[in-house]
Amino acid sequence: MRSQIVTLDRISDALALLPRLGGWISAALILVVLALITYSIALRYFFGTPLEWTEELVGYTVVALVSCGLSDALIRQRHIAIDLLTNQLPQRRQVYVALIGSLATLAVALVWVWSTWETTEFNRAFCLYSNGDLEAPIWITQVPLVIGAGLLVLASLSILIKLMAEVSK
Amino acid sequence: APSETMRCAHQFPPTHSLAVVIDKWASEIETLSDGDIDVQVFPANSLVSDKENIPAVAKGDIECAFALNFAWGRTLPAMLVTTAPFTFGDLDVWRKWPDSKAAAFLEDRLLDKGLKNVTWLFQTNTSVFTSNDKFLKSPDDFKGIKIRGLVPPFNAGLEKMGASPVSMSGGEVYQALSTGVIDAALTDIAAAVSRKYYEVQDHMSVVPVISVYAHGFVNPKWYDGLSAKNQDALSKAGHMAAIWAVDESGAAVADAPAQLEAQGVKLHWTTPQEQQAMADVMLPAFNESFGKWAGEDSEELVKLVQELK
Amino acid sequence: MTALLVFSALLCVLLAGVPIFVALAGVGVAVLAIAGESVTAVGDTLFATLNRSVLATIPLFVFMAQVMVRGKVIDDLYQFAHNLIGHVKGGLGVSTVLSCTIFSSISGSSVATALSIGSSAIPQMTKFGYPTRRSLGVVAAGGTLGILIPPSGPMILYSLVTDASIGALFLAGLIPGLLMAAIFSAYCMLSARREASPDFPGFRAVWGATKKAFWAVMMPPFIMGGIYLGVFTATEAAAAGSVYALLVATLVYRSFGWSQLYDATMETMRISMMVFAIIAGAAIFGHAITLIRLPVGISEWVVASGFTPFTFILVVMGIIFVMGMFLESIAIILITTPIFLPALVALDIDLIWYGVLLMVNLELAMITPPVGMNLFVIKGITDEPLSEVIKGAYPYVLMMCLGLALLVAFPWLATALPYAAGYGL
Ligand code: NA
Ligand code: NA
Repeated sequence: MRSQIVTLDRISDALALLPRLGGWISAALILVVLALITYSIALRYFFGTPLEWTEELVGYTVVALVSCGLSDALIRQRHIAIDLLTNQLPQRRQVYVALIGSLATLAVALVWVWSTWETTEFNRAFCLYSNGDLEAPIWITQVPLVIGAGLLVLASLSILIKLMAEVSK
Repeated sequence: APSETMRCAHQFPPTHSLAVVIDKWASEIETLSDGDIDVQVFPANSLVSDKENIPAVAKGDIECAFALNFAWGRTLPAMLVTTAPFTFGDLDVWRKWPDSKAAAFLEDRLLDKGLKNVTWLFQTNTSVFTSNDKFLKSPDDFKGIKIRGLVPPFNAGLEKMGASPVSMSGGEVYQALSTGVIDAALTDIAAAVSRKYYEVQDHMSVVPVISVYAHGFVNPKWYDGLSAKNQDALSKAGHMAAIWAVDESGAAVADAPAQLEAQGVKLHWTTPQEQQAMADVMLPAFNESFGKWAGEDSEELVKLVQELK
Repeated sequence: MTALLVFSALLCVLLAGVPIFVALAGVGVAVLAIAGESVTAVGDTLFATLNRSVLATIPLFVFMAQVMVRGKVIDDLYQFAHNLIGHVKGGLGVSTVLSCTIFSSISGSSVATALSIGSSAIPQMTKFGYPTRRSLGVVAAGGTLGILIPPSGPMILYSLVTDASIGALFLAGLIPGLLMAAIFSAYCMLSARREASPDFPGFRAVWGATKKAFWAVMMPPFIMGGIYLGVFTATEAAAAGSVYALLVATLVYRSFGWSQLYDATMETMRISMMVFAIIAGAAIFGHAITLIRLPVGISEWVVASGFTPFTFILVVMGIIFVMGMFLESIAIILITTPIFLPALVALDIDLIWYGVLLMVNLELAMITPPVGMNLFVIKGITDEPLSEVIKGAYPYVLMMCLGLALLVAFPWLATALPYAAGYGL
């Protein structure tokens, strides 16, 4: 029994590794956005040469940083939920409610994986390009969404397994 | 009760002249189909944003959408043929357009992409080059100025006159002009009023340099499933809307010059000679760049466009 | 009928304690599936919603405030307000409101404002014997100024949904924000009868504190001035503000090294994700209900039932007040705005004005029980029972209702500045 719980906890920790890595990448991308915008302000004011593609690139970077960071925030319980009613339940019941919540999260994450994959795949076949200065192939800018949805699946599985360990205690 | 629902997304705010035409077109379809098609219009990006319109219809998430020709960019460069400098200035070209070979050519290309075109809505051919202190009316006036760019082939024409094109979205232009990020802009004359360009630019020269149009398209699978009568309703309404759009645009443009002058803007109506001089410099550069950009489509399309005149 | 069904489903899932973004996305997907619509639209919707450069302002404004907090700038800010005004009757409360007001113009979030100022102000107020309940209340309420005084994260979200200009909204929040601050201060002064105040520390001390707080106090004019003089866009202002904060923290305070940068960045990421998660979930929910034409239906009903703009605003404000008791404010903006937007446009209601009303109502939501983020934050940093915090905040609920009523009665309080600055064609 005890060893089972230890195993479950280990699996949960292992599943959390990639989402945590995603958190670091997301944080780094925030600094990248900061640098990018600062650079474009500097070029414009000090050298009079505006960068046309910053805005477009910042948009894609936002997509990427959100994709990478969501699962980290989820694992660290940094999402907002309304625990007004569930808080009133006895401890044991609260774990069960949380279990249902993490199942819902897993379901939503799976829908995201599937739908972002479909979107990306469609736009690749369609040869859709952005009409901005980068003329970027849209599907490439959407790949982070698919990866982020995948990380979300890992994160919700990790939480789910941790809760199962809790239940078996 | 209607047997078909046609969700139609577009980007124009409800009061925009094209939004008015689209509403009229929608109710015309409902009338012509004897109420068999329920057309639900979602204006102002409220359902699907302008960036997502094209794939959303191609995928079949929604049945119908409108896009400006600029939206196609590198995805289908042929759609940008109307940015050929001084080629689409004549309104009669637009009255003939829906039944022309050039339109049929583009409709084929759209179908290859997975979209059935249902109407062509001409937006404007009256543009202004805005600037400060002097008019931009001859190629020499463009030397060394930073101007808002459009699409690569058109920008090639601007560069040939000595300007440096800077690209930005329409919403940014006002601020860019006021802070000196750019010195000049090209915009349709009605937008020069609605976006208050007159606050930051005092000279404007009126030029029929490009044409901007929107077009409505539907999902081909959905279209093929329609009854012959409903397909006919779409086709008839599409033709009617194309004419309404030309008339509507004339009305939208009519008041603009007086409004600009009332705000203290100096207006110059370019003469045919001035237009020719600019066209002589811009057009070869445009054609060369358009050829590279749009690939094999460009040559045939340019030929078909010449036939329209 | 459909509307009632969808919203009760959403409410049930939310109250079951499911993360808000999961509840919104889940109900959205369910609506799409039940209506027989394409669920792959979820992918496009996510991309279209997140692929916007303006959204970069959210982490950047958070980062800016994080750097200021970790650079220990906040203590100086509070000390400045305290030395300046602490000695008058009720001055401890007033100086807390003042430092909240200044910090609000650095921070785009109410929670961050309550958290940062609360941590420095509450120990000081306790030290001088300010009644506990009252000090809890003033921090909880002062913190809510964070979203009304620019910059403001919720206003950015509102502008994304409505297309109203961010610059105009920021400017519109300024006078109402200062008005609320003035009402709070007046209350602090009037309700202070018996409690002791610290002695006036002398002009030399005030000057010393001013010098120390100088760089923090100069930040708001730098950011906002930059936006209104057309030097920066809102996104650029957030970046420039972050660079400014980094420079002040490293060069002036010398209290900011690599480890602080790491912590600030990671914390920024996690705070931003709370917001982004809800943005993503709400986008899916919004797409689903738009597709089944709920907002249009509500708008048509509103117009057909003969609502005037005034009665409509009253009803909407009432609905949002009730939602605000139970829901979190970002979710409220992103759920209600797309629903009411067609009706607002149909009734020709000024979107800048409505945006400010919405913000004041959301300030209320922060301090109304049972779910009020600022109540929770204050409870978190003081360990006082929640009931004490709620009682302390209660007078401020009434004052904010008064403020809201004033704004409904005198729309120019919000719209005069942006119109004078040339916004709103
Ligand atoms: Na603020
Ligand atoms: Na509340």
